[in-house]
Amino acid sequence: MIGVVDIGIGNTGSVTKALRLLKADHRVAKAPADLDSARKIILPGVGSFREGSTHLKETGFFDCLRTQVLDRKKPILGICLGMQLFAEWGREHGNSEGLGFVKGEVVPIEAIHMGWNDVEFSRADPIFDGIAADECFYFVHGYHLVVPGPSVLASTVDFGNKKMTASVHRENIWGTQFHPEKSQKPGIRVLENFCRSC
Amino acid sequence: MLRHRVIPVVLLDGFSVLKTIRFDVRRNLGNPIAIARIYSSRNADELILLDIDADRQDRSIDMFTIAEVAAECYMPLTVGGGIKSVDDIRKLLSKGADKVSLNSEALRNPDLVKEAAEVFGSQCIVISIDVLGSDGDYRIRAPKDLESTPCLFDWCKQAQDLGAGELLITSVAQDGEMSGPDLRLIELVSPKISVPLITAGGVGKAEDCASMILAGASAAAASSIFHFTSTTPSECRAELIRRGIPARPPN
Repeated sequence: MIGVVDIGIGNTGSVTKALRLLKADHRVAKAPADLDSARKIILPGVGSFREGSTHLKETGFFDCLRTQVLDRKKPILGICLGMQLFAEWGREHGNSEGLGFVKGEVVPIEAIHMGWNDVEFSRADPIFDGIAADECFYFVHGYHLVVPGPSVLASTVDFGNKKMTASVHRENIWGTQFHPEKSQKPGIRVLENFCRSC
Repeated sequence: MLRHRVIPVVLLDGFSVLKTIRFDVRRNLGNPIAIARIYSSRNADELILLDIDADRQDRSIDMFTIAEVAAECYMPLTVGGGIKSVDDIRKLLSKGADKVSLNSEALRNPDLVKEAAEVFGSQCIVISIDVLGSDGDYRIRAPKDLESTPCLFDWCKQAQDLGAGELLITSVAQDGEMSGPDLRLIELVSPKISVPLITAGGVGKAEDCASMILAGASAAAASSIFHFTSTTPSECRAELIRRGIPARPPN
């Protein structure tokens, strides 16, 4: 069963709708205890890092996710803000603490990156199985995750003369800056790959 | 690199889909949920859903219709029609809309644009502007209760300054005619703004989408061509690519 974390910001509905299409057994987790029986976790999110970090702590999901992911090694997929919350720090209106699943910090981009863009795969990754090199995904974000080195960088995206993190992967931890649930067939395939192969 | 977009527009009169000609003559076309499902399965870049009677009838676009349409869309969905408050926007986003379009109320109350952008982020806020006129002489089509209407170009800039993430400009004269877009309008507006510009009105063939983008639009929106001809959004993207315009691969 896949637990889709609801921290009260953003819309879990678009993710659960895609999971229903895939006939993947899932449940929305509104409280930490709801993740006990989850075999995998999805952390969606839309909004500010600071808000996300605060909500994770207020709901108890902050510590819960660290236990589930770092100790129990459950596979997790972070989407958009969800992926950004995997960082150590978010630098928006001061510093906010992230889950620390990957080294790095979340900082502003000069302009909002919104629209369809193609990603460059840095290496093979099971979540991109069966996806052609020229496929595009839907991005909408004003901040991006900067990682210190290539070790967790699974794919990049070009915007404003910059190569930004499009997705990360380390052991049982996956994250996409783009919204697979809004990226038509390639996006659904990413979710399917996470559900079935990760 | 970021792709240019081809965006189908679906108009509602409350619950049914319709298409207008010059914002006047109407043809009824059926169920929005079924139509949204077709566009999603045809791999459309996005979908814009607008209730064109909502403001005049002093109501907002129907929440349940939005929820049902959003359930069919595996691509971003913009909805508009009679949106009057931050609370209206919150409800629509919670029902599954990704962006909202403000038109009449933004003209009546520009502060709503600022407030909405601050609460939800600019990326959620599209300002839709219906434009009367042709051949370089343009004015905004505004609700009847508005005493004065700003100059088109002033309003475009003001909307952007207030926090609009995108502008949607529709040529009323070309609406539903399928005889080609008003490229002069696009050429005049595009250099004045820096946020993405979606243009609508007059697309009758795939080449028209390319012309709009070459004239300065970020995205080409269209309605009649997809309802009444066999051309699909994917075929329009193929034409963009043929003309050297970056777009998502066709199906």
